[in-house]
Parts: sequence; structure tokens; C-alpha cells
Amino acid sequence: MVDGPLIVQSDKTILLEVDHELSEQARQEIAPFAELERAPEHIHTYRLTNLGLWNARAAGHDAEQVVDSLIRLSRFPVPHSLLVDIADTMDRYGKLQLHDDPANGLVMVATDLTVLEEVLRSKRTDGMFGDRIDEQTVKVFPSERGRLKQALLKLGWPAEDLAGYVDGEAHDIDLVQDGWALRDYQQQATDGFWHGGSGVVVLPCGAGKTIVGAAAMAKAKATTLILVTSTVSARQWRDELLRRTTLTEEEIGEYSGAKKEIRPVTIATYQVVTSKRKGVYPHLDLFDSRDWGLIVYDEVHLLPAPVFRFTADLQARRRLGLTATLVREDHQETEVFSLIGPKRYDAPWREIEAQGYIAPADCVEVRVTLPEADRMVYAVAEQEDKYRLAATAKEKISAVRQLIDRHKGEPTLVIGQYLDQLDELADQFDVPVITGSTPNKRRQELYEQFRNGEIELLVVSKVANFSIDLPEASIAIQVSGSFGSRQEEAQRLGRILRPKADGRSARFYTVVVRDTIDADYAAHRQRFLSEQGYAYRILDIDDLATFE
Amino acid sequence: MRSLAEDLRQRPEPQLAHLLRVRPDLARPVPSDVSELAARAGEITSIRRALDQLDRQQLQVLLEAAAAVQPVTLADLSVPPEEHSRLLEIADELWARALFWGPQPDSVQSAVRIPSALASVGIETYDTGPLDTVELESAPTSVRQLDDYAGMAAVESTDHVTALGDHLSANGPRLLRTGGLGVREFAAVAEAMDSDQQQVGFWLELAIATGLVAPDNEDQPALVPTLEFDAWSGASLPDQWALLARAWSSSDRDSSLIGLTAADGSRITPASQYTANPQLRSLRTHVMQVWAGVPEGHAIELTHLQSAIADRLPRWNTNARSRMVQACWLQAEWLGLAVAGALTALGRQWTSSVELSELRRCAESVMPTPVEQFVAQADLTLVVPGPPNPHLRALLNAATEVESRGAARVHRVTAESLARAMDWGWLPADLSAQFEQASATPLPQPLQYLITDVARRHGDARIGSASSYLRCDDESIIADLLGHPRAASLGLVRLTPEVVVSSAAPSSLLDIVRSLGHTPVAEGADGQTMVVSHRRHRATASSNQNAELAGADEVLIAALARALTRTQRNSSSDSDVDDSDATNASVEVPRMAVAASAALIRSAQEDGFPIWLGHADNAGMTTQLLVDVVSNSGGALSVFDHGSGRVRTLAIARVTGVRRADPSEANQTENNNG
Repeated sequence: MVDGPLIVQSDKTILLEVDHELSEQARQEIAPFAELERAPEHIHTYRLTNLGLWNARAAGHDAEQVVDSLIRLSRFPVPHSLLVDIADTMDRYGKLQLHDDPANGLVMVATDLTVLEEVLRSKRTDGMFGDRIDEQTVKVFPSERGRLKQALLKLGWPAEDLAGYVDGEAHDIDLVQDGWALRDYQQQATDGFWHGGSGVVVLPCGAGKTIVGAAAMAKAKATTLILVTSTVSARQWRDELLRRTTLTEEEIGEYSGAKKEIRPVTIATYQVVTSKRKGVYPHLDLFDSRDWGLIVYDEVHLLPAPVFRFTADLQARRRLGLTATLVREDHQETEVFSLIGPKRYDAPWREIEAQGYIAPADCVEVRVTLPEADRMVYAVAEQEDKYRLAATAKEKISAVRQLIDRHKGEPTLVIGQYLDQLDELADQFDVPVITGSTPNKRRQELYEQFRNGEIELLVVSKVANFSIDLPEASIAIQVSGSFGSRQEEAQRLGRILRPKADGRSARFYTVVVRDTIDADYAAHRQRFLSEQGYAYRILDIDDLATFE
Repeated sequence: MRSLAEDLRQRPEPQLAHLLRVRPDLARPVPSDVSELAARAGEITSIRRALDQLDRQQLQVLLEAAAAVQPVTLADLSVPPEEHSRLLEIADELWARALFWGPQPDSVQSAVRIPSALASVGIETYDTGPLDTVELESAPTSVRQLDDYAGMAAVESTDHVTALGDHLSANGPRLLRTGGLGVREFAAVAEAMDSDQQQVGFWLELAIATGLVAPDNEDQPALVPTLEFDAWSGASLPDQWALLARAWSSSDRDSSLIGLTAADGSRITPASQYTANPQLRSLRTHVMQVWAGVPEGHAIELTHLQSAIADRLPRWNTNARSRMVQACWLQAEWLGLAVAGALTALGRQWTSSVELSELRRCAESVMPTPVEQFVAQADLTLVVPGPPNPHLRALLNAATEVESRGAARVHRVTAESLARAMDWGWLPADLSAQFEQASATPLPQPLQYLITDVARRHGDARIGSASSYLRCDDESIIADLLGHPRAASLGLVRLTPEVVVSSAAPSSLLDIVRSLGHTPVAEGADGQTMVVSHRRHRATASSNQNAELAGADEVLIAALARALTRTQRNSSSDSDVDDSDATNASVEVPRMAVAASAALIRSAQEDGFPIWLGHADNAGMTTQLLVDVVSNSGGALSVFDHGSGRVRTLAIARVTGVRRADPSEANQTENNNG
């Protein structure tokens, strides 16, 4: 029996023993076709999915390589039926190909006639095909390219899209690498995307997703539309592009609630794109306003549903999705896959952390206890009020105070969901608070003051979940969150993961009320964190004095 | 020789036994003598059945013989001389099956005849290839570590059945009125097992055949694990596997029929009557025989197996045959008997013997060594890198949920799973200690906290059962009651100063309190606290009928062959046989309880000794018969009656008693008759 680092389970999960001497090699070999599901401290879990296997086929791997890697690196014999299944599944990819035919335009070519018949007869592909050109070839309406790919994927015969992309309007963009350079993983991510044509790059917060975006633009050298979550994030993108590339202020436009500039590089917010007036989307023209060569989707896991629909029409343009997590609370991962593209690069947080590019983090759950009287109020409360009651318990404020005192002098963020609670915290500690109603100008000022150390404590609502660059924050105290949202947890943790100038490690506190639904939600989020490789500890607030 | 009957009369006991073995329909119902046996062997229906069991070459020879003028000299058949020895073998086999009759063929000059009914059966023609055995194509298997695979598959097979049993235990899907799971219920089971219906159907049918799962005895029966399942769950993995593998050898439950449409138009689902397929055992035997003939370490392809079986059973419906062969191929792989077309050590053992101890020994040698430790992680998962040893298994079963099965197992600790362990009597301190001990790495702190948290909340509300209660503001009455000796039987428990509960019925409590001089009143049922005790759902009885049937066959065949030989000896003598019951007044047969008689009859059948039987006839007269037991099922007892020299069938209810007879008595009676 080979003593390899992998154990391949018959339920299509693959366990990777992290401490094994061959684990790094194994990780590299299986990463192209298996999705990393969990990465706790000792044993990582990957999953073989049809999407993943097709993804590998798209990247040029064949079943033989996949099977060989599994057999060679496994500790136990790999279930034979699983190997057969892998070969069968991978074989399904590419039986249908989309081509750009010089005479007929977009066509679908089949290498297997029965498959062609099957998909032609399917209801899912109704109205997508034009005339049959010959036995193997059928015309496809160009407008249906995205929807056809979605439909074929659902039918289990994913098409290989070889129809290429339009170049778009050329625009010269280059990286200006003065005093900084693309990190290896950023380069790999960019290359992975470029060779794949379209797809998603998964990088932890603080690992420089914006730079991957800039590098992709420098490859495309074409006009680019960037879709981001908020105006603040739009401005950070602009600043970053000005700093990292040859682009000038005149070349970058902002398309938001406040401004409607369309320039060679245009940064638009999801909100403005999806705003609806009298049943129509008035800003939809943005997608056609220029001959875009590249579309970048920031925080792709937050992509609102209407954007999916617009994206289905944009299949001829290169698309780059950026995110820290593919987990969508609405389970729309497959939509991202079929419309933006497959995952092109993914690195577990821990590894980038180990390379020193993001700060290590220490997660602590702080438990407080409700007094007897409040427990009764909680017990008899309506189900829908329970979380709010627990999340905004008064006991949390004193806990937060103790934590702040303990970390005096360290830049600290207090993050919460409920505005009353945030206001009360801000009052108590006499510090500024940033919420959705804080004007952008004021937000920018406060962030700036926080960055340069004028203020060391900031109370923020969920507006700070995304795309706010606060590199020096090293302590985050979460007092309430949107229920058990896992991606929120990841984003909030991301706020403090930027490497600190002095190499300090970051600390992430979550204050929860024990024996309430608050603690249940916390457990849900923490499971996600520990699956990402962040072991967490539990602290009773009364034991704070003896806590390290 | 004038007839098939005459031929059969001259055949010795072992040859008759062989005939009954290869044509089992001849033994049911039990023929009374050789003439009846011969008549039955010559019937069209029986001949058709016999033909179904012939391979292509045998059919070919029979076909040509049937077309020729009777009797046929073997050498006259169109078989080239170099294949004459093979021809003789085939002729001998056909003769043994009573498809040829006449003197036993000993050379190609022998002449044989076919049963006259055969001419009218109309055998379809088959391509007349050469008679030499078709070489089965095989190649050295590409699979390395064949037996490691077998071991893994064997472990997984027990895993599947365990998971299935646990699922049924928790859900107990209802069976349809006609038996069988509903289509939707079955789909739900398959989904819960995270596996396709074909495989889940197989494990379900195998679990039923092993007696691990059965319908319970409720009005609306549900499919639940049996008590045997609990015993099986506690057994070692090799033992578990051995039981499954043996059950597979005798099961006639054809899971490949699941999903097809039954004769009545319904969809066939597991546990239904339609999954019983009498042909299955025979086919499985053929498949495994073919495999056993492949050199060790060589693999065959499914298509080759299909054509080998087609060669052996050419008259079978092609679709059904290939469906069954394919299912058999897959199932052998699931059980670890074969991998990618090559028979494993387990498969070789299985084809040579399905004796439990031997199967177990073989499984032990290929199964991975059980591990005693897991790796605990901060996300509250425990990874066991191999099959857990029984001790670890008990801990994990009680306190965790399984998340992934296979070569390794991933278990998750949840608040619910810990609470369940505590429900089952595990103490929090024990749980911590056992986790600590079984963990190869330091236990993550959140796990410790979780145990403490669950322990703190566990039992914060108390639930018990009581049949009646007494509430009373006057505590002295309660004190009086609790102290009174007559109240001892009431099982009183004082819950609060004013309330006691009793395990006795309200009426008993009422009577006793009243007899103590108080004036209690009963309260209406709406105030009564009745807590249903939680008992896990189990079927009570299960018997592995198939295994019994298969086991009984040999006993029946031996007894019947012996009896038939004797009837033949009697009829060949010219003496007049007295048709009336041979009674023997001097023999005393004690009156016995039915159970006692049945036990003795059974051992007489198995061990083959004669017995004296007290039998009440239609007139109510009890006569004593000296008999050999031939078969005993469904209330009918078939015996060879030494007195009349015939096989008779008696109602078991008419048997008044049994006594073991001396074999010399039997010989004497026969001599008298002779």
C-alpha cells in the first residue's frame, strides 16, 4: 500500500493530509480538478464535482492524468467505480463545441451525433438553434450563446466555447511596477484567467484582488467596464488603478448614483446598474455604450440576479470575476460558473498568509451571559425578535469596553448590524460611527484619519464589510451580524488581514450571548472560519484577565 | 428397456439424487414412486425447465438427437470423431438429467432415446459451432493491489448496510398494501443514502435477504431493522461482511428488477413480491463459475461474461439474462468479490465455499487494519483514517454524525449528536476522556466547550412515564400513602410535596387510597400525563426463508432419493403389496405435543433415521406407521411408508406422536414386504 497524502472517498470527497511530506505536490496536482471545500488545520477536504472535472478538461487536463494523480498519491486504493465515473464525466466535455464559422457565424459542432440529437430535441434549447448545416453542425443564434451554454451544462453536455471573444476597443493600459511587483500568485491568477478566457479568481481579502484586475486589464489592453459594490469601493478602485497602471484620471470614469461618466475605463456600481424605473433598467445601455474588451465583476459572490441576465448577453466579451469566496448565501454558485466562467485560480488563505502577504489572524469567540431577568424576556420573545434581542444585549457593551481597554493603542474596528447598538457604542466610547447614512465625503475623511492613526477606534456598520481598505486595523470586534452569514464573516475578517507594518497578528473577536440563537449563528459562521483554516478559541468574558 | 420409468427404476440412489438436484421441480410436490417421478420428468413443462438449464452444446446435441429416428446411436450424430469424448460427456449429462434415457451411455456406440414429449416442445435451433469449450478472453488485470480493493469494498459494503439500517431505524418508511416500498419512499431512501437507486435497491434487498431488515408487525407495516440488525451492528467487520456475502449466495431477490414495470403495471420497488426471481440463484452460480475459471489475476470484460453466460443459458430471455448478468457483475464488485472484471481473494473464497467461518477468515486477511485514533479538527470534524475498531466505532456512533464514508470516515460532532450520546447514558466526563484518548492530536478547545455546553443544558427538563397521579393539598394524605406497606406495589414517586405519580393504573391507585380510608376521586383523561416511552422501532421476528429453503433442498433430495429407491425395490418385486396401512399393534407410539413431534421429525429427516409415527386416520383410528421422512413443510409431511412401500403425504396435524425406530426394524419390514 502506498503511503500517500490523499484518501479518496467513494462519496467523491478527497482528504488531504496537510502534514504529509507530499501534501504540497498533491495539492498542486488535484487543485485543477477538485474544489477545496474545507481547510482546517490537519486534513483538507476537496470535492470532485462535474463542474470541477469539466473545468480541468477546459484547462487541458485529461482523465488519464486525473486518475493517475489520484492513484499515485492515495494511501488506500481508489474506488474503481469512482475512476470509471471520472473518465466518463470528463469525456462528456467537448462533445459539443461552439465555433465561429467564417461562412455561417456562430455554430455548434458535435463529435457525437447522438449527443447532438439529444440536445437538439431538448426543451431547454428551444429557439436557440438555427438551420442544420450538415450532419454534425448546427447554427446557433449569437444572442443565445450564454443561455445555450447554461442549458447544455444543465443537460450534462457542457460545450467547449471556442468561438473566441471580440477584442473590443483597444486602449493602451500597462502596469507601472515601480517599487512593487506582481506577486507570484497574482501573476498565476492573471495568467490562469487570461488562458481560460473568462472566469473567476478567488483570493482572500488583502491578497490584492484589485491588482489582479489591473494586471488583467494590462493583458487585454482594451476598454474595460468594472462593476463594484459601492461608491466607496469604486473610488478605491480608481485610486489603485491610478497608482498601479499607466491610466490617468481622465481615462477613468465613475458611473454611480452621483456621476454618470463613461470613459475608456468605467467603474460602475451594481446598485446603479440594477436600479429599475417604471419596470425597465434605464442604465442597461452602459453595457453597450462602448465596445468593451473586458468586464470585471468585483465581489462576484454578491452579483445581483439582474446582472446575471445582462451577462448572458455578453458572452462574446472577456469576463473576470473577483472574490474572496465563491460561497453564495443564495446558492447561485452554478450561475456564476456558467455565466462569468469557471474558477481560474484559487489559493487557500492559509498559504498566502504563510507567504507573509496577509496578516495571520487569531479568532476568539467571547461569551457573555444574559442576566436572569433578560433571559425570561428572551425566552418569551417572538421568534423573529430573538436574534435582535440577543445580538443587542446590554452585556455586550461592557464586554466590548473590556476588550478595547485591553487593546488600547491598537487600531480597532467595532462592527455591528444594528444602528441603535452602534450609536450607543459610539456614544459610550465617544468615537465616530460610520453607517449607510454617513455621507461619502465624511466616510473618506474618517477612513483617512483611521489610516494615519489620528483615531484608533471606529464603529462601523455593514457598509464596511466590503472593499474598504483599512490596512492598519488589527483588532476587529464583531458585536452583531446578519444572522449566520458566512460570507460576511469572511469579509469582516478580511478587514484586518492586511499585513501590518510591524508584522503584528490580527485578532478577531466575536461577542455572543451564550445559550441564545446568537451563539447558534456564531457557531455557523465559525464553522466556516475553521473550514478556512482559522482555528478559533472560546473565551468567557469573566476569564479575560487570564486570557492570552 | 421399454420406458423412461424403467430406466429410472434401475438407477441407483446417488443418480436419482443427482437428477433431483439438477431438476428440482421433480421433487415438488413429492412423487409417490418412481413411476410418478418418470411421468413428471416426461411432462412438457418440466422438460422446458430442464432445457432452460442446458448450455449451447448440450442443446445442440439434444436437438440433433431429437430429430433423428429413435433410438439414436451417438456416433451417428454429426460430431467429428475428434470431439467424441466431449460428445460422450454431454450425452452422459443429458442422460443424468433424464433428457436421454435407455442404458447409461458408455461409448459413442451407445444408443439413447429422448422423452417422447421432447419432440413436441420445439427447440429453437442454435448455431452449430464446434463442441470444444469456447475460450474466455481474459487479460492480466490492470488493477494493482487487487485484494486491497477487495478489502476496501468489503468494508464499504458493511458501511452501506449500516447506514441504511440507521436510516430505516430513524425513518421507518411505510410499505404499500401490496408489499414493497412506495416509489417516493424509495427515492427518499436513495437520496438520504446519497447513492443511485440501483445500488441502494441492492443493499436494501441484501439487508432483507440477510434478515437485517424486515417489515414490522404494525397494521400499516413499515420497513425497519430487525433485532438481528442490532446484533450484526455489534459484530466485527469481517463477521458483518461474511453474513452479507453468504446471504448474497442464496438470495433470490433480484434488485435489478427495481424500477422496471411489473405485470400489474406498477413500478417495481424494493421489498416487493416482484423482486423475487427464481432464476437468479442459478444465474449467479453460473456467473461466479465462469469467473472462477479465469486464471488468478486475470480480468474479463462484461461483454465476454455476457457471451459466456449466453453460451451456458442460451434459452433464457436475452434481455432478462443480460440484465441479471450485469447486475451480478456490479454487485460482485460492490461486495468486493471482483474488481474491474477480476475475481479477488474474497471472490475466490466465495466461489469455493460460503461457510461463514471461511468467509470471515478471508475477509480478515484483506480488510484494512482497524484504527483506534482519529484526527480532531477545529471545525468539529473527526477524521478516522481507516475502519474504526469496535471501541472507537461505539464512541463515534453514539456521539457523532457521519459526514463521509469510504476508505476513511469523517465524523462531525454536533450539539445534537452529543446530546444523543448523553441520552444513551454517556457521561460528559466520559465523553471528554474518550475523545481525548482517541484523538491523535490535542482536542480543539471549541470541542471541549461544546461538550461542556451540551452537558450543562442536557436534562434541563425531565420527562418520565407514569400511569396515574395523585394530587392533594393535604400533605399528610401523601405521607400516609407513601408509608403504607400496601402501597409498595404502586411504584409511587413523589414529584412535589403535593403530587405523587404511580406506575399502577388509576383504578388500582384509587382502590388503595380508598382502602386507606380516604375519599379520592378520579380525574378526567384530559389531565392525565401519559408519556410514551421512547423505544427504538424494531421488527420482532425475522427468518431467512431463502437460506432455509436452500439448505433444506439437500436434505429433501437425499431423503427423497432414498425413498424412491425403496419404492422401486418394492415394485420390482412381484409380491402383492398390501395397500392398506401397515399397522403394528405391538408398537407403542407415545402421544406427544406437536412441537416435540416436529423436532423429532425434523432430526429424522436431517439425519435419515426411520421413525414410528402415530397417525389418526379419517375414521379417527390411530395407526402406527414405520416411515422415513422425506419432506415436511406447510403442514404436509411426506414420508416413505415402509409398510406400503410408497411415498405418502400426511397432514402433520394428524400425527399423534413419534418414536425413533431401530434401523433393523425398518429392514425387517422391508424384508417382510419383499
